[in-house]
Amino acid sequence: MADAALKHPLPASAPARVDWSALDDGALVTTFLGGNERAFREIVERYQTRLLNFIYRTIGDRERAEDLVQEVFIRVYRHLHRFDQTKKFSTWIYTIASNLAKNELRNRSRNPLVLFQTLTKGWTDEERPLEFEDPEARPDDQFRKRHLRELVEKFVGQLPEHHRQVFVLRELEGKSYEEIAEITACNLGTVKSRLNRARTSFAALIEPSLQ
Amino acid sequence: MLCREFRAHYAAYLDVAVDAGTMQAMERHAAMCARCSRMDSAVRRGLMLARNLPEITPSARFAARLDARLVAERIAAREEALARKRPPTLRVMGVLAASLVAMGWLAGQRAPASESWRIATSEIAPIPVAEWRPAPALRIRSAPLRDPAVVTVASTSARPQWMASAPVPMSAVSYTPAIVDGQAGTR
Repeated sequence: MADAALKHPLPASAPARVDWSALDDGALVTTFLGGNERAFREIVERYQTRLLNFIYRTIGDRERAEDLVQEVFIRVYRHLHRFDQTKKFSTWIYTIASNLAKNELRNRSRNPLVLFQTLTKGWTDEERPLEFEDPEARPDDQFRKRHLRELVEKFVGQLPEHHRQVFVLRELEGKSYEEIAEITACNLGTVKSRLNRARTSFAALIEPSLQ
Repeated sequence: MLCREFRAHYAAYLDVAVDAGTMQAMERHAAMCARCSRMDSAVRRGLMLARNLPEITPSARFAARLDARLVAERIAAREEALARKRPPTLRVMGVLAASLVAMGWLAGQRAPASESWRIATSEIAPIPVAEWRPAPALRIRSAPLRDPAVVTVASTSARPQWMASAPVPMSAVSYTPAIVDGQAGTR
């Protein structure tokens, strides 16, 4: 009964005080298509950070990643009526994000002015994403942690594009193999093989730094 | 278990997606084989680091920018819906009117230039000028080309005209009698 309530879409004239976070994605979509614009804001709030991290880890450029996340939401807004509601909404939105990230990498390879590593290497302290460091930790530990994070980002960026995307979706976004297959338009076997290779390559890259 | 088998099942082992028997066999192999154990440890530590990467959050201006774009989308969608609702006769008439305007504009573009563009009048060029044209750079001739008909018109009417007939080399026409060995003649 509770589940049914959570999945039930709200009418366009829903009261202002609604616990939007209690609604699942499908109900939000139906509510939005029913004319309630507030439901779209909830979709944005739910996915903006996840998509930003996914695209950022895939293309390595934070500012461009934000632009692409905006583009994802615009496309979702424009084409939500075409979304097959028997499917999972998160897979659909990640597919759009994945395609945009792929296009970005393709365009960049045609016009290779910026390399992934140079984007993250040039960060100043102000531009760096917020990191909450343990004030109790010793300075050399903090330095080591930061250094390791930089290495991880660098090595993720060094993975081949199709391996990196699968790796990010699985290890950083926690997607299932089936979802990854759908998002990347590959079959399950390809996803497994790419992930295995990505994991092994990543381990080989990072192993010397862990000694 | 051999190293080759261990590596073949490694992805599933990492995801804890192998059956209990295979899991035990793989754990035993990892405990005995230094090479596979080192690889397993590197992969697990690397993945742990990757999964703990700090999360980045959208910038402060992200929401405002997106809101502005969504408002523009809404307006565009509304206009499109309105355009669809308009009666078809109005739309057809609109298309016809636009086509007529476009055709008129194209006809204006294609109309030949009037004669006044091509013939210089005496007001514009009051001094009679014999029309001549220098030879093209790649075809150097010994003398400039001159059209006797044009010269005649120019000198009698004070209305120079652009050359209409084929030009002839200057050496082929002569207006002054030349005296050669005491005899007058035309070269």
